[in-house]
Amino acid sequence: MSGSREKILSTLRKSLGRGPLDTATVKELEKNLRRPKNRVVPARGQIKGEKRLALFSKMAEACDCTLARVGSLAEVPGAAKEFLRANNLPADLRIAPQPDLQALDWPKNATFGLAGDEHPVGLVKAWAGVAESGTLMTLSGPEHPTTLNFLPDTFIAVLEAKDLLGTYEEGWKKLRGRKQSGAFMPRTVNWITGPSRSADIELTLQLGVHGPRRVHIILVGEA
Amino acid sequence: MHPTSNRFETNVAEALADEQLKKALARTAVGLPSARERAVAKLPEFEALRDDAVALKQHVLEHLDFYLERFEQKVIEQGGKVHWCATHEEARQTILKICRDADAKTVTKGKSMIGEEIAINDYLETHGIEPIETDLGEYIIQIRKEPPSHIVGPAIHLNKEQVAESFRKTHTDLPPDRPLDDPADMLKEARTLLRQRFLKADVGITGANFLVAETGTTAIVTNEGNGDLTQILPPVHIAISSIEKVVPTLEDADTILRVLARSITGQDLSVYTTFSTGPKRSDDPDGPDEFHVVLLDAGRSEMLGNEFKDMLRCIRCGACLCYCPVYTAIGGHAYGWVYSGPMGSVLTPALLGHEKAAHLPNASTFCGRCEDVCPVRIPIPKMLRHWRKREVEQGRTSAVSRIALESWAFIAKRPALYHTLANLKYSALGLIGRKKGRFASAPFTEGWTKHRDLPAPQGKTFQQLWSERGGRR
Repeated sequence: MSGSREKILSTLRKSLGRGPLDTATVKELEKNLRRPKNRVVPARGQIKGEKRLALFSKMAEACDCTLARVGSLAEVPGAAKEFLRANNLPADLRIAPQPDLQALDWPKNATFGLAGDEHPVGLVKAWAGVAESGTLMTLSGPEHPTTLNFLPDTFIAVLEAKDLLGTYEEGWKKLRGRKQSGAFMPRTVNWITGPSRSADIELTLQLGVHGPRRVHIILVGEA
Repeated sequence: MHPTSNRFETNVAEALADEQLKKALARTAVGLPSARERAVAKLPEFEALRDDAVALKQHVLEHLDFYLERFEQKVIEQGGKVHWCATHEEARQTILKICRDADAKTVTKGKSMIGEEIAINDYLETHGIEPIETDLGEYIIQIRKEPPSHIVGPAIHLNKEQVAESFRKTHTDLPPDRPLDDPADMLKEARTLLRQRFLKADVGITGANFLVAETGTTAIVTNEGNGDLTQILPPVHIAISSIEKVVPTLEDADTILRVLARSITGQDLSVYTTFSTGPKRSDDPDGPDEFHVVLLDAGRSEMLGNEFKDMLRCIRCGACLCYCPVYTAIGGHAYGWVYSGPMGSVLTPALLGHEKAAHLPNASTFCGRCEDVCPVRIPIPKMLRHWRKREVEQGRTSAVSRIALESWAFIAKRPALYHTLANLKYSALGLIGRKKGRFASAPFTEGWTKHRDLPAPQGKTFQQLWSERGGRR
């Protein structure tokens, strides 16, 4: 195997018409990895406040999410119950063991933990939202099992207005700030933009192929 | 799969006679380009993003060794493993060994063109391990034992009746008289069956839309969520990728993501974009215990040094297929391997060998739409010309086309002769065909008139009009 590694690297260096890069170039490339990029970022997402919130809502709705808005985290259990009732969905909530969520007053049958096939509704608190495309950003970890994002039929995401960002770049910046060392990445960063879908049969769009059929976002607080 | 690219002409004849296929292709040729155009119109920065994506890819290709080694180092630091594979065979053996070490009986698969390229499903099956495709389109073609006909929509060539028929034939435990008229019925059936397979799989194999050197991350883009269930439920996750998929940083991935989905389905972003770094952490409640990255070369490191280098910028969006007048007439299967359309006509001869796919570069009208819509501006027509040049240089062209081209070149190099002959021909054709306006057949044009009429010249030639208006030569 290491034979192939050397073979591949030497063939591609030969193709590039050079040997291994010199130390100075390598150092420069290393440094560039940490330098901010001077790339085009669509103006669309570079807005603040209520405008940003309005854009997020518009984009999320355009990709078939539903939205509700509440004033504080304490109102989340009520908003979730109302959504499930209005859509005639089972009220058995499986909730991410996030301290913010555990502190709330849930119905007795709600449980915390990872999701299995038997959980019809998953509820999580998103780590961030990105207005540019109406995208939710979640991080795997002890407080947020990834299975909650994918196995339940209905996915409810709580998003605090203060965690709403404009662009993907702002998301990475926030993530880099999470830990001092290079290991800021969790096992999984999930960007979720609407419910699961497919157009594989005759280009007919259908929701809920393997992931959730419904994504409901509860926006909390003021922009 | 066994490539049939060298019997392209027969494949095309069969495809053109297939009425079902014609209907399916008509849908593709309209539906996807119009979705792309709507998305592009909504983003004023789209062209500038394409320029950035080109610059980014060029930079990576020039320093590919650095970024691959950097990526490998980071994967290892996070507790993952990187397997460098020079050939398709080596990649197959590597994946089989990982599966055997995990004592795997079933393997779920997310959509991966590299998986198709190395024909991993057939290989695992031969060695007693059951592979299950989980992308709905891939699942459909797996049970039909077909290759994908489009990068993004593998089952785009089928109609719902054909899918229903395959479901009935395969899912024999279900009542034979169940309704399967609506795509929604088939979706529900596939979802229920595949959910059980997800939960029981021993290994999950996904592709990678890109690799991030900065963090040792592999990223996939899906709409169904199947790629995620594939990688979070089984104890082992294998991500398979070709070497040119690496990008320097997470922000660089943003640039690619902003042009990827817009170029094909017209979405601002696909539903699920997932960045995976290493195996699950010690305190993670779910996720895989092992994380392997299989890096495939299979001819790409050599392409980096020849006239097909720009093809390595390709991000596999599939836009060039939907805009191609040849692809939309014959579909993906006629190309005889896993890549089709304009990008396939460049890539297949490079990966399989020119002699196995020499016809493909000729399957182009050089209209240039592929290059116009390519998010990373790959000069596809130019590269198809490189292949044609090689074909002539190596004496692979038929005697008929050689003589025809040489005669044409002789005349074209002599303007007086060319104009005399051209005027003669067009006046004659115009005279004979004026009444009907078209010919159902004419000498030396069978290839054209077999499938459509040849229009008769109307009025004067361009050169005549040009002279009349006092245009200078």
